[in-house]
Amino acid sequence: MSVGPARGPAAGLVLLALGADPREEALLAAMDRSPGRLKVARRCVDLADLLAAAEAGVGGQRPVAVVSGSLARLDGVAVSRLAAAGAFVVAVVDRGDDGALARAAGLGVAATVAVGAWTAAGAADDGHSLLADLVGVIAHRGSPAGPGGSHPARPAPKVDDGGSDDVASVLGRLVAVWGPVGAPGRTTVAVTLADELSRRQVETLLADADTYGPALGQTLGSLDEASSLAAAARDANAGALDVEALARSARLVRPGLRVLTGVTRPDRWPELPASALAVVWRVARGLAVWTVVDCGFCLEQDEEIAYDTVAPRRNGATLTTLAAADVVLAVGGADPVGLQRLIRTLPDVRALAPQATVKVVVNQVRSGPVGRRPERRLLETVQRYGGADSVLLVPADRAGLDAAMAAGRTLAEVVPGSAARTALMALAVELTQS
Amino acid sequence: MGAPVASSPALARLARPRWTDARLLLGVLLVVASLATGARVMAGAERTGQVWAASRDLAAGLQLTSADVQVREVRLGVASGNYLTVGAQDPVGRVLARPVSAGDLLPAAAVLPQAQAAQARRQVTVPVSAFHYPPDLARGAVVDVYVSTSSSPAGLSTGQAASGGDPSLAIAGAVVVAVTDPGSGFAGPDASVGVVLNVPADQVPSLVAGVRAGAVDLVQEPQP
Repeated sequence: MSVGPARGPAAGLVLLALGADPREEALLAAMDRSPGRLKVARRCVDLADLLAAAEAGVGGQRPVAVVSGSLARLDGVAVSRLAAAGAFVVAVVDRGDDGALARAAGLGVAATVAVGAWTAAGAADDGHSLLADLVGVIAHRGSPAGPGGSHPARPAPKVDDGGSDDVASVLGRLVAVWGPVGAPGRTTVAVTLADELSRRQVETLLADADTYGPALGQTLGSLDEASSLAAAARDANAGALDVEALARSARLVRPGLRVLTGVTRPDRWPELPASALAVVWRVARGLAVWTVVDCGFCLEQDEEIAYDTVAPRRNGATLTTLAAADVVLAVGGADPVGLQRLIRTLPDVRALAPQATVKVVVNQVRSGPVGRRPERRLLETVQRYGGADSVLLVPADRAGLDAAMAAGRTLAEVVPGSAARTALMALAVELTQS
Repeated sequence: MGAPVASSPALARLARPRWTDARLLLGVLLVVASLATGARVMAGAERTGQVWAASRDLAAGLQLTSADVQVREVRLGVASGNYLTVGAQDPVGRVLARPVSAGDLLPAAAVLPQAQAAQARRQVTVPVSAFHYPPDLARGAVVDVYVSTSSSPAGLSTGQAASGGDPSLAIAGAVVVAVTDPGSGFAGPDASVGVVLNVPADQVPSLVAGVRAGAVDLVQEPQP
């Protein structure tokens, strides 16, 4: 049964997908009796129907998607697609079922409504109370998730009591280590910084979200063949990621330093969907004081130009990480090519991470490619053309980094006196004091 | 803040190999043990001994000479006690209790001391006319002795001998010890040879009686 989209903002238009729940009939009956409050735009038989309706604009620009918490195939990607289509997603779960409530919140729905046990005798009352709850929830609808809202998995507002504690209470902070194309030393900076943070008695999580050249596992000498970040992303997509689950997926390098290794091969990048990573980073803030994420280089949004927003986005992992970051380290090589790439891309980074502090890290500083007194020249160049006020110069230490790479260890473990380590140690101190 | 709320499994990391690695020690132990075992097996495989063997077909009752036996390098293992080993016992001058084919090792049980053999066997010289013994009769041959009793054993035609003779087996399986050559090879039709036979002592009387009573034929199984 489908009703043509109504004009005007008065009544919310509802896309209904309660599956086989008998409350759907009761809700429809209640809507018939009290017209004007909510109007059904479409009754969807399954998730595919619901996604198609939402993305086709059935129910207008800002429909309300009422889904059963146990709807088949409902996952984080689906909820993010609904949100990207402008829908306000409300999950209906059984009252007292904390697991279903937590799962719905983990999927990133905008709100949840709890209903009591179903009885045929109380159908009319149930329908009315469900309608009233929905109207109440929708009244709290804040600023709508616009069509470009590709990061819908923000903490779900708790409408109902009895929910579990919000595990993602914002405690920890996130550092995105990004760098332009080439090998400016993103992974080296990320590993060394995370290692130094953890050596300051700060719980640290190191993650590899590079979808082009993941290298974290090898740099740390990991023998693990599986990607722990992909495992966490799977949990997040199923709505099952909490702090404990994230800790189970992560691996302990040293007390205080956990690692989420990246995909084992670059062509497995679809295992890191943007919507799932947004949840991972949110939960990570509850697990670690500092989360250091090694990002990919590419910031382009080809898919959105060439196809549509529904297509899997390879750069989504990096874009999501930048959008979630509190601090972005833009790492560039200390040579003309690396510096030019860095400076040309810095405006894009600032636009993608408007809320973050962007710090420029010029890596592998040596006199060879830039001439005498490289520190002064590089500093002047970056400050003049890049407009950066915070620039960190990391001296080149080829021998020390080679030794660390050969041993599969961090600089602090192999070459404690390395000049590169000293520079990044200063950054760690600065971050912990900020 | 900062206390870990949940535990994570440890990351399995590449470790620099150490000399004290239990797997290395176990490997070295395995190599050493297999080397020692292999050396023992190879040493056992090469342990050979010298044993007497027959250099030609030897019949039972034959007293062995140095030409009858030869030395062989063989590895017998636990069976070495069953054969006549060089150095322990000298077969020359001893007597065979049973036949031994050419090339066979001499069983210790088949070689009797001469004194023991002498109690059981005797050597008897038997005269045999020309054409009544195998042409290649030689020492070591085994023959059956037939005796034909006849009133005139010599000079008769073959037809008469066939009708008048009554051949009987005097002794079976006698061993030729020696053949006495009567002349220098120009033996006439009457030329006979003396064949020394080694026979059981209890059969000597009947053999001697038979030889006295008639003519002797030596019959030999065809040699393969």
